[in-house]
Amino acid sequence: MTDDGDDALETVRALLAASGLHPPEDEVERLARLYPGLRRTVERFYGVDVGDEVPAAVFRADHVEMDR
Amino acid sequence: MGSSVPLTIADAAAAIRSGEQTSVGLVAALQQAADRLDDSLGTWIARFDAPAMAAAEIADDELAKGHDRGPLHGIPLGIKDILATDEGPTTAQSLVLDPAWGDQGDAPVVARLREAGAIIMGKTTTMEFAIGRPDFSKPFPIPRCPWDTDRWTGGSSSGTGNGVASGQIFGGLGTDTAGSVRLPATYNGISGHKPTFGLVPKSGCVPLGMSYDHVGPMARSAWDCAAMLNVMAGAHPDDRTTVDRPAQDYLAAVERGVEGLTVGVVTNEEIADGSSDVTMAAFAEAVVQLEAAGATVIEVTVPLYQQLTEGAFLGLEAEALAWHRETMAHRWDDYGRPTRLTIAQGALLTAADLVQIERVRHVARAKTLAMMDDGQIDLLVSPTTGYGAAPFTGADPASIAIGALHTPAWNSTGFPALSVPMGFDEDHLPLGLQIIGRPFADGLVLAAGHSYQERTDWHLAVAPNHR
Repeated sequence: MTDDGDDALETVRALLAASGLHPPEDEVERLARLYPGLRRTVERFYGVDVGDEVPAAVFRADHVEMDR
Repeated sequence: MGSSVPLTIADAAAAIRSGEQTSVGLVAALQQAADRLDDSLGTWIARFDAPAMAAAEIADDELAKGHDRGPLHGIPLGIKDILATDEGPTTAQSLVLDPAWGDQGDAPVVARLREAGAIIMGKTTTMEFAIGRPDFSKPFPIPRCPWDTDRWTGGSSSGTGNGVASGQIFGGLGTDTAGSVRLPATYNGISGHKPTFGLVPKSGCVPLGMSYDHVGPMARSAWDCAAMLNVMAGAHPDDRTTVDRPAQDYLAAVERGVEGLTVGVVTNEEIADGSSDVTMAAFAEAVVQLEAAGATVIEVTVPLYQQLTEGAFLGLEAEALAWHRETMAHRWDDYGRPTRLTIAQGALLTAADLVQIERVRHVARAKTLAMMDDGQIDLLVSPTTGYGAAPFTGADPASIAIGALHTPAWNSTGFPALSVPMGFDEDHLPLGLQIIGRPFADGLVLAAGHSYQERTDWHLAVAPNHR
């Protein structure tokens, strides 16, 4: 791994561990190789002008259970 | 065998009513076909031979007494093995799913098909938890394409796809989180409809990406899909994402044709960049057919199309991890490698990332609707995929890249999207035309598919591995 790759490896290992996931090293490395591309993809979402848009997953306080 | 056994639900329903066929006869013929084909095609996780035959006998008896439940009466169907059924276990094609999960009995959508007289033939193969790719290391069948068994069917509604294409069932249920109804529909040369999000209940279905998941019909024709959707649609109290709307008769709707409709051809660069020249030529010819049928065709660019596509994968990975995390933490090795490496990517997103993805999703959906409003556009069309079915080994990387899938954007928007066969590639593998509509315009989408299939016969092409 390069320096950047080492960073990705440590970041990915930490993120997985934070979710309780402890894959074998070869699979952590596999995810670490994907990670920079994933981050670039995600960063493009922050470049979209969405103004004050609320997320699509809106909490619906007005929901009424249907009759069962 | 089977020369007198029809290809479509429409023809099978007619044959039952004319006395040319019985439901018992159809079930027997299709069970024999499954005996012969399943080893080579990997269609079934579980077959319900005895209950299916018993149900067929009841169906025939009811019809003899004048009790006609409609076009699905006595018609054999398959159910993707992530949907619960009364007869047997649900595995999600995984070693991980608790066998007790399926004890809830029929999923609402399965119960509706059964109430309409459909015969449930068994549970069809999928990719593990409806995600990932074929995993030869796990003890489950590998679904193979009936057009070339060295190739995959596409996923994840793989067994329903190849079961219909090989004549082992007339139709069946798939689920679609990023294309899993439409992709196997394309690769197997059949029709598959992803309904509008909220039209069909998803309860009783093992979730993948909860806000991207859809349960949809797969069958030979758009008409057949409409017959299934007619009974599948409608709100259900067990799925509060379903929308309570007046029932629509989709079989009446499909007769509308496309006369007077405006169809937008999606010209985003991702479509051509992710498709072969052969696919684009077949697509151009399909558009000509829609125009000849009376549609006005214009070119459109879908706003934020790339984000709608990429966001579907990112979002579903996060949602899938939420469902799987506790199990995955303890049973990592029991998941197939393709499955665990995909779902684990959900852990690589931050909470803010997911919120931003949802915000962009919301804006992109609104912009797409506005684009359709401004242009008075009724439908959108694109190729479903850029390439035909890929071989298990040695595939052209372009053909299996995410960019070759033109389906996920419509999971992000929740719009209805139908795939119908539109020809073959240079290896005689089926290609698909995708027809997309506004929310709850499923009838119009199916009408366009039906109109196209009245002018073409790609959906009736029979694969080399067929009953």
